[in-house]
Formats: sequence, C-alpha cells, structure tokens
Amino acid sequence: MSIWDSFGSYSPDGLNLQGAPVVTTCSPNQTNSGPCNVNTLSDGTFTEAALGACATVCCVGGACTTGGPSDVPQTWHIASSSIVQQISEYCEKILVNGTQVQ
Amino acid sequence: MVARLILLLLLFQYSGTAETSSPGAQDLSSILNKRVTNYNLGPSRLVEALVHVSNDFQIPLGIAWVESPTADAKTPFAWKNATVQEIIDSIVRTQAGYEVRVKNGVVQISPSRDQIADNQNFLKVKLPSFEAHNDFVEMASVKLHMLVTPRKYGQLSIGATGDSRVDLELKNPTVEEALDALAVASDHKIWVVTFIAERGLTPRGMRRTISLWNPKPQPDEEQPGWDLLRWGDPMPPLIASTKQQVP
Repeated sequence: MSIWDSFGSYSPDGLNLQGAPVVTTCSPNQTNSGPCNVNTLSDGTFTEAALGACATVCCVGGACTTGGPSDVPQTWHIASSSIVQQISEYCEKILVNGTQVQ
Repeated sequence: MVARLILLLLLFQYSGTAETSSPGAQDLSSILNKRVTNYNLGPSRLVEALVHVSNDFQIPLGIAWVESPTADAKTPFAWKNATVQEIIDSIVRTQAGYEVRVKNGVVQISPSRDQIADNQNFLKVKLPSFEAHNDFVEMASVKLHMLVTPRKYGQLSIGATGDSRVDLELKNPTVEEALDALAVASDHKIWVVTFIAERGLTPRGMRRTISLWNPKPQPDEEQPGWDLLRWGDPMPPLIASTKQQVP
C-alpha cells in the first residue's frame, strides 16, 4: 500500500511555521501530495523516518530558548485510507496526539 | 542574527531492516556478459524497457533521460542469443543521444552533452561530502536533496517503507556518484532522473526535472528531483505501457 503525508494549517502558530517550506514523504516532487513509490511493508506497517521542524524563534541571541506551540494536523494517506494526527511543536519537544514520542 | 534551530528529529522504528546485496564489480561484469537465448519484452518505452532488464537480471541501474515523444514511443524489443550488455546497448541505441557506462557498480544511461550540457546537469555538480549513517534510504535521499537544493524548511516529515538502511560517507562526490552509492548500498537499485524537454533553466541554471509519479514539474525552489525504485516495484505511471492502479 502506498503511503504519503501532508500537513494542514498551523493554529496556533507560536513558532511562526506557517508559510515556511515543508518537506514531506514525497518531496521534492510532490510536497504535501503523493503517492511516490513509498509503501508499507507487506504487514501494513511503515516507518516515520523523521519528524521535525526548524524555527528562528527558538534561537535568541545565539542561545536556545523555549517556545511554542505550533499545532498542525498531519494526514497519513495509506492507500485509499487516511489517518489524521495532531502535531504540537515546541522548541524543546514535539507531541503527537498529545504524547511525546521518542 | 538569523539562525535556524533544528528542533527535534525523532526516529521511529516500527520494523526491522533487511539485508540487501548488490553485485560487486566482478559479479556485475558476469551478469552483463551473461548470454541469453531468448528474451522478449514486447512493445516497451525506453525507460520501461531498461527498468525491466534491471529487474530481470538484478542490475543496479542509473538512468538520466530527457522526456520526449521519441523516448515515449514504444518499440517491440526481443532478442535471441544476446548478452545482457548487448540487450541494454540495443535498447539505448533506439534513441539518439544516449550513452551507456558501467561505473561505481551501476550501469548508467546518460544523455549526451548535446541534450544536457554538463553545466546545466545537476548530476555533475560536486558536493563537499555526502553522509548517511544508518539512515533509511528515503531519509538519505532527502539528505542528498538538501545538499543539492539547500532550503531552510519549517516542517519536515519523512515516511519510509522501513526495510533498507544505508551507511555512506563520500568525500567530494558528484550527485551522480551519490545516487550510485545509494543504489549500491540500499534495496532501491534503480535511480531515474527525468529531465523535461523544454530547455529553460531554473534560476540556479539547471535543467528542470519531473517525477515518474507526477508529470507536473515541481516548483523551481524544489528542483531538481529524482526517483528511486526497487527491483520489482510497479512501473511508475510516466513510463508504464499499461495504466496501472497505484497500490
């Protein structure tokens, strides 16, 4: 089954991420779109190889600071189905559906 | 001071890794010299035929081509008593302006400089280095793209099949050499760069590309791009002779 992901709008957007370039599974050819030949394994599992963000507001005077959140819905498109999860981004952590994943 | 801070890069591992082998230089030579008594691909497009040969004979393959009506035309391919090298050569000879080389453990099909001048061909760009350390191949490909087209991204998320990791450390490679290394080190044994026929250049002076999965060129700020395929993957829509449902 094919997989790809897309992001919605940020609200709130404490890290000022709205409008910044996004890299998704099918980037650069189909950012926020797909499919692009990334698939689940035969048992239906797949890997989220990376999840992250860059924000200038997290760096003040050359030092790291706290900030956020920027909340954004991320949709995983898996064949004809989809899963939506809420990503909450802070300078020091990312929460997926309210849980810090590590 | 404008600074960007990488917030977090989380790695999730829902699956194990799979061993992938690639033929060594000697093995690749043996495969290319193998004589085939009867091989019939039927009517196929240029890239489609080459991908079939890569699949059938397990040959790591790098293809850079220019999309055009002639390259898109189907040719009936069939051979009797030919080596694999002769099969590849004869497929490529159906189109003017391409050359075949064996380099870095990969069979490379490249357009002539008349088609894509070296200084407009991102594959010839030298990078200071390219490293991937136990990265999923999909992530390694994104890292390479960030070296080719540096951007200050806001949000990043990369999904991966999760069955192939790569460890690479290349000093001063060309982009082409980095793609070759990805093909040799991972289970994505085929890389394809599809240049569009229109000779306009990106603001950075490079020829534009499209994906085999999407006929619309990506925006200039994300140009250029490439596709990675595994042996046995479904034929991408742009080169498939018959329309296929994307799984």
